[in-house]
Formats: sequence, structure tokens, C-alpha cells
Amino acid sequence: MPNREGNLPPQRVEEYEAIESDEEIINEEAINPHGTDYSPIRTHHEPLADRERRRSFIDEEREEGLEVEIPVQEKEKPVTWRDLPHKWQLAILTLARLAEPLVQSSLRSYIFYQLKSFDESLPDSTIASQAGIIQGAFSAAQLCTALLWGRVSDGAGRKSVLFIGLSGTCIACVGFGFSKKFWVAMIFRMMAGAFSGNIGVMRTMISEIVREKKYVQDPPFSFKKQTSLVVIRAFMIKAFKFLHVPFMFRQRDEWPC
Amino acid sequence: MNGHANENRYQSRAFLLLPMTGNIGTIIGPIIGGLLADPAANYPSLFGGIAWLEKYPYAAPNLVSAFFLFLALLAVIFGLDETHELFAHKEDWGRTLSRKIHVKYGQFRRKGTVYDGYTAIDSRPTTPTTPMSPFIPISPVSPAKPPKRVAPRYKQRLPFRRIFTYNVICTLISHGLLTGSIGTFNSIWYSFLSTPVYNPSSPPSNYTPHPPFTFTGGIGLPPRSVGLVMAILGTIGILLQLFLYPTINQRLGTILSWRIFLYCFPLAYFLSPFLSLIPSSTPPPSPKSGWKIWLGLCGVLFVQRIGQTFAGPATTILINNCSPHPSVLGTIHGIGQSASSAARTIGPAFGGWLYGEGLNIGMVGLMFWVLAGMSGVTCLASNWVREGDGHEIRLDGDDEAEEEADRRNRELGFR
Repeated sequence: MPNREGNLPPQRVEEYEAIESDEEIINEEAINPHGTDYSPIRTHHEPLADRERRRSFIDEEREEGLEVEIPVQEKEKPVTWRDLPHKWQLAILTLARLAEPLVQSSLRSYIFYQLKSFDESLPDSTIASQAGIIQGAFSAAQLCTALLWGRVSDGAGRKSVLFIGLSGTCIACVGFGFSKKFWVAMIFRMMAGAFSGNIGVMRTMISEIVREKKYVQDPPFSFKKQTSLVVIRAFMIKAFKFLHVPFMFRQRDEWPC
Repeated sequence: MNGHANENRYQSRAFLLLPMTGNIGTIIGPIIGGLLADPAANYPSLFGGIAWLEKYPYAAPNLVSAFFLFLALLAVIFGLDETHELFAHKEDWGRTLSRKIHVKYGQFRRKGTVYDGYTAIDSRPTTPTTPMSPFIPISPVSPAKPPKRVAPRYKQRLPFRRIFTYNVICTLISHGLLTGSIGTFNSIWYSFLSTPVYNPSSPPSNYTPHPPFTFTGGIGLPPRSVGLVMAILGTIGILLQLFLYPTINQRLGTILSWRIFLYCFPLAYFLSPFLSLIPSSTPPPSPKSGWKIWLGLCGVLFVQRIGQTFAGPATTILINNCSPHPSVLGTIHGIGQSASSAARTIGPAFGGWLYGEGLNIGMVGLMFWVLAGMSGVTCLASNWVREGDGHEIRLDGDDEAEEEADRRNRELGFR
């Protein structure tokens, strides 16, 4: 840069100092041949420009190293069950989730006898297949509606979906208890299945309740903050290569269109 | 695979809550069902003369279940906060009402510490408010909401067809395969245990067993003793989930622990049919017995249960984090749920049929080995899955929304 010639003298002074220190190093090494305590720059004799470059490069690396260290140290603080945030919210969701398998599994213990009580004349094999049909109807209805519930919860809020789902399951449960015909019972089970597609919604809510500051802009898929895992990972890669597992740790970012 | 996902230290525990309640429900559900079914016939001295219980003998357990659901419903209405950021700040009559009741109750008890409103103000370090006394009653008409960390409000919603990124599809496929094989195994496992033991003195017509692969016969166990084993293993599963899984997840990362524990499934499925070759201490027509068979049984079940316990929550975390945009998180979980119920509908039906075919041709292990192959494919497929950050696709306005949220959080005094 020709228009900044006024800045040249201080630069030259720096260079001069650097050269001086270079000589010092040489002297030090002459005095103390086991000078391995020093940083690697000092023990090598390189052209000055190269050394400057190296030094700045290493500085950069050091800075990055600091960046790496901080999150790792934060991570090492062990999280216990007590640390979970919003415990009451999680407890309510857990209660809501507990109700559903409770219904399912209590039903499984007496459904055979209940179906038998609808029509005593049916053989056991028919009853067994009827029980299978009722279970299948439940999961088929769930299959059809789970996606829709998820979609609705994204567009209209999670709580309302959970509210509708739980009240629907509740009504279906009472209805099933008071049904006296196979097809009525099946319709109520289908209704329960259709309304219990909100397990996905509960999972969504849990994820949103424990969400930390996740949305900070960060280059995606960098291996920056993984230093604590590197040793284990390297070991694991070796182990898996030993097992001849292909494609391990392969990454693709996008659907290859 | 990246900083974001590992940053969320709570996920590994929080996502354990749901499968754990599932385990608890399957343990206490049958007790409720068994105790309350047909009370008029089972406890004639207590419920003998009640007409509706006699007319509807199975109403009682259902009413109890409905009562549980109703309790959960009340808790949701009055206790749960909306988590969707676009709706979280709207009027919620249930929460407002419960807060009013809370405040009234607090006034009645004259204990300032239970006021919601005060904790709210206390937690804001930067608000210069009037000196606070716990005895100044807060206006009961509009009780203050405690401040919460604000999440970014994404204005744009990801269109449905753009949800299916490469990673979403890979995750869903391996999730479907996994739940399908678990569901199928759980259903044919019971059939296998109750299938009669192979009797060499009266073999099926023109059939000769050729170990190592062509052999037939089950274990012939009564379901009651199996139920006991399953309950014990369920308890072990809960304990593992409570104490071991979060640590392992933190040490290895979600995706790596998932890939490792997926190898439990092919192993367990491949080994299970060989249980019928273990010599029994009693001659063939009677059920198998002796310590050898129980050791084998428990070993296989234990391996399978470890896989199920550890891979299940990991799958949920992976599904959660493969979501390409926060605005479709609910849809992603819905699709995941649909995929697993599809696999659970088809899997057991197909499994039951193929197990029967295998018995017909004298190869009891056929379905198990198909399952082992299926879960082997899952293990391979898992290598294509990577842990996303929940925000793979960035839409216009996302950055602005995040800056806005950051700014507001700083105003609220969050870091």
C-alpha cells in the first residue's frame, strides 16, 4: 500500500525487535540445549515472514481452542433429574401420558371376557380374532389421525389438541364400558384410537418445555464442540471398522435431487 | 453431529418420561383391570344387588380409566402452559382461573411466598419496582404471569412437501423398522413361549429336524410365569432408564448410543429360537424346565429389553431433532407416531402369519430370523441417519425472529 508509507517506520521497528528476539532465542538455546519448555515456534529457525504467519495461525488456533473449551466445561456439569426445568409442566404431561397406556393395558386383561359376554354362543377362536380386530382398529385409527393431530397442533396450538384428545378418549372409554355389541365396542375403540393420536403432541410439548437456547446461529454440522467426544468416537470408529460396518459416520446434507 | 443437539442436556432425561409412564401403565393397568372387571360377580357381597353393574359388568374398570383420563384433563386445563410460541401469549382461561385461585388461596393463607406474581417480579433483576412487601395483595383480577424465556416466533410455516428432507426420511424409515420389529417380536414371543415342546416320539408327518436351523417346537410355558419374568424385566428396564441411560447418552451422544444399542436386536432375535434346543430337565411333552432354560430365557429377554430401553428414547430424540423447521415440530412427531402405529398394525399380523407358516414347514425360527434380518437392516440404515438440529431449513424471517427473541430475552433478564 503506497499511500501508507508513514506507517512503515514502526513496522520496521517491530521487525527489528523480532530479529533481536530471534538472536536471543539462539543464544538461549546455546545456553540451554534442552529448551523444550518453550513453544514450538522458538525451537525452530525459520524465515521471519513464515514465522509471523505461523504465529498468527497458532494464535488463531488458540483462540478457537478457547472457544471450544468453554462449552465443553459447561457440558461437564452433570445434569441430574432434579435439574429438569418446569417440573410441574413435565409432571402434568407425564400424568396425561400415563392415563392412556393404563386404559390400554387394563383393557387387555379383560377384553376376552367382555367380548365373550356380548355373545356367549361364539366360539373362543372367533372371540380371539374379534379381540385382534379391536386392537387393530385402534391402531389403524391412530395411524390415520396421528399425522393430522400433529399438523393441527402446529397450526392451532398444542394445548387445545391435547384437550380435545383427552376428552375424546375419556368419552370413548366410558362408551366402551357400556357397550353391549361387538360393533359398538369396536367403534368406541376406534374413537379412542383416533383421539389418542396426540402422543406425538405430548412429545412435541416435552421437547418445547425443555428447550434450551438452541436457536443461536451456528454453522450447522461443524465438529467444533465435540472435542470431549473425539477420543471415544475415534475408539468407536476403530471398533466399528473392525466389525466391518460400512457407511459408518457417513454424512449427507441434502436429498440428492 | 453438531453443537446444538448436544447442547440440550435435558432431552435425554425428559424424553425418558413418556416411555417410562408407558412401562408403569403396563404394570399397574392389568391390576386395575383384573380387580375391577365384573365386580358384581367377583364381589357379590359388596356389589351384588347393583343393577347397572350387573347389566354392564365391564363398565367399572372403564369408568376408573375414564376417571384417570378426566384427572389428566383437568391437570392439562388448569396446569399446563401452551408451548407453541405463537399461541403461548394468548389468553388461556384455564391458566388464568387457576392463577386467580392460587392468588386467592395465598391471600387467605397470608403467605406471600406462594404468590406467583412476586416470584415473577423477583426474577427480573433489572426492573426498578416499588419496594416489595409480601403482604401487599396483588390485584386478583389480572394476576401477573411469571416471565418465561421467549422462543422465536417464526412467522412462516414450512410447507408440507418440504418437510421430507433426506434426513427426515432416513430417520422415519429406521424408526418404522425398529418399532415394527419390536412390536412383532413382542407378539410372536408369547406364541413361541406357549407353543408346545417338540416331541420326538410323535413327530409331525414326514419331518426330520436338521439342526442348526431346521428344528421346531416352542417352550410350552404357562403364560403366568412368563408374565412374572416380563414384569421383573420391565422393572429392570425402568431402573436402567432412570439411572444408566442418561449417563450413557451424555457420554456417547444420542446417535452413537443409538447405533450401538441397535445391535442388541439382531443378536436377541437370532438367538431366541435356539431356546427350544436347550435340553430340558423334564421329558418332551411337558413344558421345559430347569435352570438352563430359564438362564437362556432371561439372557435373551435381557438383551432385547436393553435394546428396547435404550433405543426407544433415542429414536424419539432423533425424530425430534430431525425436524427441519420448528414450525413443523408437531407434524414431525405426528408422522413419527403414524409410522410407528402403521408398523405396529402390519408387523404383528405379518409376524403371526409367518410364524404359523414356519411351524408348518418345521422351522420355528423362520420369523425370528426374518426379524433378525430386519433389525440388521435397521442397524445398517442407522448409519444414514444423523442427528439434526431441529432447524435444517431456514426460511425468510427466521433470523429476524431469532434476533427479536434474543433481544426480548435480554430485556427479561435471561442470558
